[in-house]
Amino acid sequence: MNTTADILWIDLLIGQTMLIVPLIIFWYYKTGLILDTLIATVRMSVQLFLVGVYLKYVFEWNNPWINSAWVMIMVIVASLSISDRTKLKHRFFFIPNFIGVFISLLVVDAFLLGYIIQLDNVFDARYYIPITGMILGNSLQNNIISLNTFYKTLKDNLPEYHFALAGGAKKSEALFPYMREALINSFNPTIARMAVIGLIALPGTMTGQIIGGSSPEMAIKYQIMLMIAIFSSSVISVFLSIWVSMKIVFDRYQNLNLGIFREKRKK
Amino acid sequence: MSSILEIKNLYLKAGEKELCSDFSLSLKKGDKAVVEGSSGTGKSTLIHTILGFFPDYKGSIRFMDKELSPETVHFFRTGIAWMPQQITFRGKVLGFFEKTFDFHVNRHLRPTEKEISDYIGLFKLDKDTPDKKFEQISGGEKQRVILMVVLLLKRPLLLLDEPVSSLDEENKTVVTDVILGNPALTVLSASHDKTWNSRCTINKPF
Repeated sequence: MNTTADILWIDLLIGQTMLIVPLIIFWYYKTGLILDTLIATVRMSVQLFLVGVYLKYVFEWNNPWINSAWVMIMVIVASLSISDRTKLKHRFFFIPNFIGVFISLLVVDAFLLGYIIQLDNVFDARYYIPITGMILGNSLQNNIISLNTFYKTLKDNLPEYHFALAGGAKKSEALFPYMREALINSFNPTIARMAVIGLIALPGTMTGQIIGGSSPEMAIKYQIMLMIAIFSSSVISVFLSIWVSMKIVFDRYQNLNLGIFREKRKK
Repeated sequence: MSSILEIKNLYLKAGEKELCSDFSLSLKKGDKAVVEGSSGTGKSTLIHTILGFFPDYKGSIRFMDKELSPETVHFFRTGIAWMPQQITFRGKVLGFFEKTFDFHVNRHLRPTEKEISDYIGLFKLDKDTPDKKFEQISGGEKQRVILMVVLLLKRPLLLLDEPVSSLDEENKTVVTDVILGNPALTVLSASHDKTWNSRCTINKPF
């Protein structure tokens, strides 16, 4: 396995100078993105560094409880960052996001690790943590787009929603068009991306496995399985998050609580 | 016979502004009532309140002997046909029709093509109206399209918010005749239109 060429720390630092080119372009066009880029780069590096240190121990211990605690932290951070990047308040959306993300992971992990890959120990850190992390990271964007679409479309079309309710629609019937639109908006790009995988993009897992010394054949099997796991888990978590939030943000007369929206703020 | 709609001592406010205090109204079958007043006095809010869209009120609202509450709001919303003042719909006029009749409670009322074309004739709409985009027809056409849905629902009470405000004189007469001239219909409307209001049997200032 250890045929991968290591990157020296000093070379990693030199590698970061690659950023000078995008920064010059951002600076020239007065994008105001320079500071954000620098902060994001530093954050990314520090976070990955810490994760690297942490994972080293997690892999050594390989304790199901510690592994699960680590996944739980990822789920909490993911749930917070979903409502953070929508225009909706944490107070109302943390729990729906958490439930959606958590249950979708549970279902997909159990099926993928337990049944398909047939691990003796589904909590084996080497599989459990990176696969869960990939599923989680890739479903975030779908959750953000769908929640935003659902509640923004609903807010912009309140008279239409009221007309449906007054027409005798059950809440689920009256909200049907907004769920539909949220799913379409969120998954159209995902489907389009999936359709060109391998042609214009070599996906991460596969690249990683090949660099790590696996055969391309094994790499594509994992990649296919992961793509499907990510996609299924995204749809499940999007559906569940919205469904659970529907129980929270409407009053007993099915009126939308308009207090769920955050004041506009700078991106 | 008991009332279809009974409002007692209603107190409404929007923000800090008091819209009405101690408003009462009783409607029996066949009554044609109008709440009159210039725009901005909260007539639409009154109608929203009856449908449960504005639960922040004091007083009593009873429809067919049931008090408005979270448990009865669906009963209100399946027994009252509402014509809103403004409505958006992204799709064709025909889709707008079908949507209301796709709801479980209304499926048995789905109109036949003949019923629709009869109403289109009655309301003097273009024959190809159902194929037009809802957002592209005029305000007056929208009002008549919404009225068609309201009438086809065959419900015991009609709540009409400014039903003739965008209609020309000719169409106003047609609509007024069809609705206020029909003794079987029970109507509560909000309007500041002289033709309409003069034909109503109960006129309440608001």
